[in-house]
This record gives sequence, C-alpha cells and structure tokens, in this order.
Amino acid sequence: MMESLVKHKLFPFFVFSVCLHLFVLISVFYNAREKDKFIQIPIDVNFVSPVQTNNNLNTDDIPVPEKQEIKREPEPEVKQEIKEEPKPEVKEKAVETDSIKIEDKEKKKKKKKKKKEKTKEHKEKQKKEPVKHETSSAKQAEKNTDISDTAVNSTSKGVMFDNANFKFSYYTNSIVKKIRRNWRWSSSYTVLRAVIYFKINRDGDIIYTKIKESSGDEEFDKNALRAVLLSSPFAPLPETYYEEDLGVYFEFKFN
Amino acid sequence: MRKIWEFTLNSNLIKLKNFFVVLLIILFSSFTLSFADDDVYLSLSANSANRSGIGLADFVPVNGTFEEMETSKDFRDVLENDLILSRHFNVATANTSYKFDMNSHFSYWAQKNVSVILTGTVSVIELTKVVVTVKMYDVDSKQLIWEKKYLNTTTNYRVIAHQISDEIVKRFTGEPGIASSKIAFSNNNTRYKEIYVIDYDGYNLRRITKDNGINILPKWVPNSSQIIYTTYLYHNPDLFLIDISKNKRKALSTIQGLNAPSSFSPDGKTMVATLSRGAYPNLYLLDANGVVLRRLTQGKYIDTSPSFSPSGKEITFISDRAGYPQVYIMDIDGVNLRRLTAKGACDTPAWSPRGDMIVFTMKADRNYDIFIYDLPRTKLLRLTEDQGNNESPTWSADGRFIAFSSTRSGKSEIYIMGVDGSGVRKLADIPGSSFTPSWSN
Repeated sequence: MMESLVKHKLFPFFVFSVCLHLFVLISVFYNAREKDKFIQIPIDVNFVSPVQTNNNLNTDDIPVPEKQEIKREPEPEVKQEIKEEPKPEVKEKAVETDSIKIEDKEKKKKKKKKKKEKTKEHKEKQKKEPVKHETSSAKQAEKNTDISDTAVNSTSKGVMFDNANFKFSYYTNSIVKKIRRNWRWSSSYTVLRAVIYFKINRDGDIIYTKIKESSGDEEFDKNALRAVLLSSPFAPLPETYYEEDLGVYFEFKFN
Repeated sequence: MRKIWEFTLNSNLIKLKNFFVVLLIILFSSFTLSFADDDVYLSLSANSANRSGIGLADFVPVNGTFEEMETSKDFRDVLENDLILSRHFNVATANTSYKFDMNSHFSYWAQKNVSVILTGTVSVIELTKVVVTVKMYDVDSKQLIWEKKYLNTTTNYRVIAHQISDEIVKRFTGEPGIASSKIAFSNNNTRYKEIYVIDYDGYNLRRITKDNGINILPKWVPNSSQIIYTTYLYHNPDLFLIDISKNKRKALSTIQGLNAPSSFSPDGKTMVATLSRGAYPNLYLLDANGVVLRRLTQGKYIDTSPSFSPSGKEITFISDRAGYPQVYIMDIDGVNLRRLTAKGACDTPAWSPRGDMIVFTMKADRNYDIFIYDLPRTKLLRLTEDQGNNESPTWSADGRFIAFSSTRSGKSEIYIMGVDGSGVRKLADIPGSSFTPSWSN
C-alpha cells in the first residue's frame, strides 16, 4: 500500500502540500508562542489594568455602546437571587476565616462577552431599582463580579484584610487597581491560584510580604509577589482607621 | 489487476482525504487558538477606562458673605478642573436643587456611583486670608477618610485647590499628583525671547526674565523653584540659574562658546551640559555650581540635549556621530553607549520619571513629531501625526502626561497630552510663540 502511495503521480504534490501545511502550522504556533509571552499591559493613562472586572460600576466609565438599546430578556431575576443569597454567607465566612473575597483577574474572552451582557443587565436592573444604590459601588462591584462568576464558574477572587473592621471600599479598590496594573500574566498559565499576604503601614508603604498560599508554580508566585511589591507605595491608610498597619490577603487567580 | 490498483488508489485517496481533514482541523484549531489569544489581548486593552468616582459636594461659606461665596465657588471650580485633568477620576457634582442633609447625604451620592465624597467649608478672614477645610468621606462605610485645614491669602485660593487635588490623588493611588506643578518655557511676544512660568492648568502666567535679550531653553532644577537657562545677556550663550521664589539669578557656566542646558540628576547634585569650549559641542558632567567634574563624550561630533534617567545612572542624548542626529543612551561614567533610533532626525530626548520610556522629537516624514521609545519592549510609538511640527516634549512628574510645543495652530504653542497621545489640550492662549517647555515636579 505504501508503495502504491509513493508511486502515485500525485505523491510529490502530496508531499509538498504536507510540507506547506506543516510550515504554516509551525509558523502559526511559533508566532502564537511569541505573542503569548507575557502579554504586556498596554500603556494606560487611567491607572487601571486593562482587565475588566467591573470594579467600579460607573455608568460613565464603561463605554456601553448603543447596543444597550437592545433589551434583553430579564433573566436576571433568578440570577439576582443567586447572587444575593450567597453573599452574606461569604461575608461571614470571610470574617471567621480571616479571608476575604475579591475580584478575579482574568477572564477568557467568551466569558467576557457573557460578562458584558451581564453588566448591561445589571445596569438596567439598577436603573429600575434605585433602592439598590444604597449599597456602595464596591459592593455593587462585588455583586456584579459575583454574577459573572456564577455565570462563568464559581471561582471567587479576593482581597481580604486581617482586620475585619476595615470597611473602606474605596481603599480596597485602589489596592486592587494598583496591583492589577503591575500584574503581568501569561496565557501559558493553567489554573493557578496564589495568595500573597502583605502589610501596609500608615503611609501606604509595604512593610512585609509573604506567599501565604503557593500556586505550586514558582514563576506564577514570583510574578504575583512582584506585582505586589511594584505597587508599593499604596495610598496612605484612611485617617479614621487607627491601627498602625493593615494586613491584606491578595488572591491571584488564573482560570 | 488494474481494478485492484484503482481500488488501492482510491482507498489511499480516501486516507489522504482523511489526512487532509485532520490537517485542516489541526490547522484551523491552531489558528483559532492564536486568534483567541489575540482576542484576549484586544478585549483587555479595550476596557481600560476605569476611573474612580468622586462626588464633589459644596464647600459651604461659613459666614455667608459675598466674598466667601465667590471664593467658595471659584475654589470649587479649580478643584473640579484639577480632578478632571488628573484623569484619575470621574467627578460627579450635585444638582443645583440639592440641599445638604446628613441623612440622605450618602444615599444621594451613592446614586451617582461615587466611592468618596469631598466636602468642606470656606471662610474668608479680614478680606485677605482664606481658610479651607476639606473632608473626604467613604460613601460605602460613611466614614471620614481624611480631613485637613488649609490657610492662604485669598489671591492664592488656586494653590489650595491644587494642594487638595494632589492629596486626593495620593489618597487614591499612593503617588503624588501634579496639580501644583508649573511649566517653564520661552516666548517671543516681546520681540525678544524671555522665560515664562505658568501653572500646569494654564493659569497664573508670569514672566521670569526681563533682559530684552535672548533667554532660551529653560529647565527646572529637580524639587526646587530654580530654573536653569541659556542667555545671551553677555553676548555668549551662557548658562544661568534663576530662583523664581527669591527672584535671584546667578551665572553657572560662562565658558567661551556654547553653554547649553542640560539635565540635572534626580538628586539635583550634578548636571550634564553641552559645552563647546571652542571645539565640537560635547557632553560634560558639572556639579550644581557649574564646575566641570569630567568630560563624558569626545570626538568631532555634536552631542546635545542630555537627559538623566530617574535612577541617575544613565543619560540619553542626541549625537550626530552616525552622520545625522540620533538618540543614544550612555552610562553616566561615559561607557556603554547604545543607539536607540535607526532613522530620521531626532532631537530633545527626555527620560520618563518611571524610567521605562524615552520621549523625543523625530522628523520621520515632512514634520517633526513626538515619539516614545518603550525600553522594556524596545518599541517605537508615535504620539503625534499630521498636525504641524511637534517638538520639545517634557514629562509630568507622574509620567502620565507630556507637554510639548506644536505649530498646529499656525504658531508655536504649548500643548499637553496623555502618554498615549490622547486628550491633547492647549495649555493656554498666550500671545506670541512659545517654545521648549519644561515641566516642574
């Protein structure tokens, strides 16, 4: 059989074709690999990471195109309940176990789309229910991310303080934003999770860091730690927070 | 026999087909894989507008006099403008019908999607002094974040607003703001060239030199109110230093030949200047009093426009040793010379405060335009295009903005843009033509 194949008059063309395809294949892989190396965060005057986490759910912020007009079926009702219920539990847990929830870092593009839709829905909801606004923007953000989480998978992302009384959501956001700006991630990461613990003094400087939970991937840990250290100094602690320093658990997660 | 042949052939062809199908699938999947990665990248950069919400409530006039109400309003406008120009925040303001009420206060602002509220009082004492107290609240927890009292003369209410804006930026980012910064430049409105200083927001223009001569190339001394510049006062391009707070000046370097400024090291102790000393203009390391410490470059080349890296260990400068002016980097001890650009005529490189970029002017086609060399990525980025000549870029202290001169309006004027080339604004409408801005820190 092989012989017949080799002798066939089309065989040279076949070989040529295979070679061509292989060449294309290899070059594609090669290019893909080159590109993947540590996706650089684009230069960004807004001091935010390019990763969308709906951290601040500002209507002015997120450029929602005209598409918003397209009303979506309000499937949210269900979703909302889903997100409302687990939240308090999570909070309690957080207080008990000294761990806090936050946003996750990276979303795959498909998820992102879903998320955007979710955001829209959420916004519409917000418009309909002004009562919701009593909760802070940060809480909204948390909820919002929760929604997308439940929609995508049930991962939680988080910042958590060792002082459960620390309630300044603007400060939490500023930490997350700043670290995210310095967080360079590679798509070569698989599912990884690391928790970095660090202490911020009153001036906002980092005075202590520790890898609380290693991801098992040395490079990932190193990058997480690097992102934290590069972010120093953070904003000075609020004046009405009277402790000498603030301990933060920061979770880096790659789904 | 022939039949068998055909059969095997056919089956082989079928197998071939299968093989191709498999190949195609692999190819397709690999393509989608690589595209998927690109998509992540794109969607990442597309969603970068994420600013913090600040609610700017009223600053209540304590005594309710006419002066207080005016000052309070003016002060608030300056502060709002500062916060917007910082590009860190979305600033929300209250409706005119809004009345302060402690109970509904936080829920009112929470509706506006802000995370903190600014409020305070303004009082004018003896018509000449103004006291501003400012309070920043966390909307979520309703707790006070920060509170401070500022005192200044009534004419300086802008200074207070700038200081408050800087403090707020610090309390959000941990990095200092630039609202108190100033920009020095030279202007020819008097038919001569004189040095002027203006606030970063385009107010408070002051003329610094009054020689009726040629005073050019102003540069700020780091962390001070001093400017160095080149003057032809004594019919030679000499290097002078002027202290704008004390209004005093002194000669730094008056060696025969060109004495062009130059860049101070970040610690302000040394500077690199271009001195010709009757030969080719080369780079020299000078101490802060203008005494030559050592020569950095030599040869029959023109080396100019030095700029220190923020670490103080390297400088970037222009040299024509390639035959035409190009951007080079060199260690401060004169070794490790590297060339950055490959084409065009380059000028006035400036190292970014974060150290990762060098901005410079390059004549790539018809006009001079602003380019950035991204050091870690070794990439050249273009910031201006098809809008007259754009020259003399200078960094803001936080490395997020660039001021430059542009002839886009027909005459040379100073503009400010984001480091990505976005949000270009004219600094101010200043008579005459303005050149060579230098941004203080």
